[in-house]
Amino acid sequence: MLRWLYIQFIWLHPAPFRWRFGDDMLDDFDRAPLRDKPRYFADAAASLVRQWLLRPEFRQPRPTAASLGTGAPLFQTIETWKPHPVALLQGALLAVVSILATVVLIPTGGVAVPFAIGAHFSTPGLLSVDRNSLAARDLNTTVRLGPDPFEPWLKLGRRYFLSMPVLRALDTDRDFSLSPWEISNAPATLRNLDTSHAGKLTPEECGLHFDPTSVPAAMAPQLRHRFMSYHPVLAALDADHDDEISASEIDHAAAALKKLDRNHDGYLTADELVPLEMAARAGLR
Amino acid sequence: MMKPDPDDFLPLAPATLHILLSLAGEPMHGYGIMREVLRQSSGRYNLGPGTLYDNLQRLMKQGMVEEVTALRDEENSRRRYYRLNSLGRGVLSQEIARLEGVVQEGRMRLRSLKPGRA
Repeated sequence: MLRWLYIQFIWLHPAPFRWRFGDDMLDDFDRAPLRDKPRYFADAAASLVRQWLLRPEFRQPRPTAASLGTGAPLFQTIETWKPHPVALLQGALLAVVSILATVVLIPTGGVAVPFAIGAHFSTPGLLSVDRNSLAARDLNTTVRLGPDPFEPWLKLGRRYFLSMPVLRALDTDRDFSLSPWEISNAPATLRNLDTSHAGKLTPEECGLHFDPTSVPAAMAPQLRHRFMSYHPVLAALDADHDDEISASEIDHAAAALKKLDRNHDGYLTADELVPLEMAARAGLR
Repeated sequence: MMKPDPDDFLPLAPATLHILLSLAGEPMHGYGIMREVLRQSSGRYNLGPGTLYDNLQRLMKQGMVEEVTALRDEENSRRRYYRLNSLGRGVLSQEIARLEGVVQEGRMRLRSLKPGRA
């Protein structure tokens, strides 16, 4: 590291000085003990200032045959010294590594792209890469996705949520599932369904519709019971099975709804809310 | 071309004087000159490579020092050796003579400054 830094100092000197004394300066630096090397840097810095500011006369370019203009041939001797064998070995090793790295990197263009997945015809918004490189290279991988296994549940759940006043009220964000926030907010939501202000929810307020005149009076309680027990969400809310959701049951609605979360993910989805018979008719059970 | 007069280069700067003194014997390479200067000055004058080669560049330009290529041996094949030429020896001789005069003058002055016996 120190040697490399000193070489940079030498390289900052004017070229004629560097050509003439650069090797000697570096050799002196190599021979100097470690404790003297900081002084060598200070000396090199002073030399830099001196050479550039006080020695303009030594920065003349080397004379060439043309500049001499005498017509006499100009001969130059070739240096007789040879680099150290270790330096030659290091240079050879560096050359081999550089060539190998270049050979490896050229085919990939510096970016590893084992296969390309995307639209068959690229658009500027889809792929922000060189269009020319893509034009000559077609997509070579096709990924086919099967049908979403939850899609039938979503369709059934959408119909079921829209037909159930209680679920339609609880699902405030209209995503056809009940989130943890919606579950925890259930008591307040259910109180809004109490249109009779009786402090409780009757089956009719929960969505039961029938014509009392067409149904025998004795059948009405059975219908109400059947309705409240048929829908899992109402059955869970009606903890005492009296076919009504009392004020106390409304207060504990969140805890009751959480019992329906079979997969314990915090959300109530269609597969946890749709009645078993309805799912079976749809072929999902 | 007229031969330069050694007196034109006097007085010499301390670094120049030490370098010429180092080269007064056998030819030396740069590191050898630095060691020799350190020895001559009893460790007080530690010449750095930048200062040394700046002086050598100037001394070669002025014609007092020249490079000796014949002395490159296998061990120091990269090293350049330098030696004094006739002008360099003349300048060094004149500078030493000048310094001797300075020393004599100084001793005389110092003797005259000694307090006389009562």
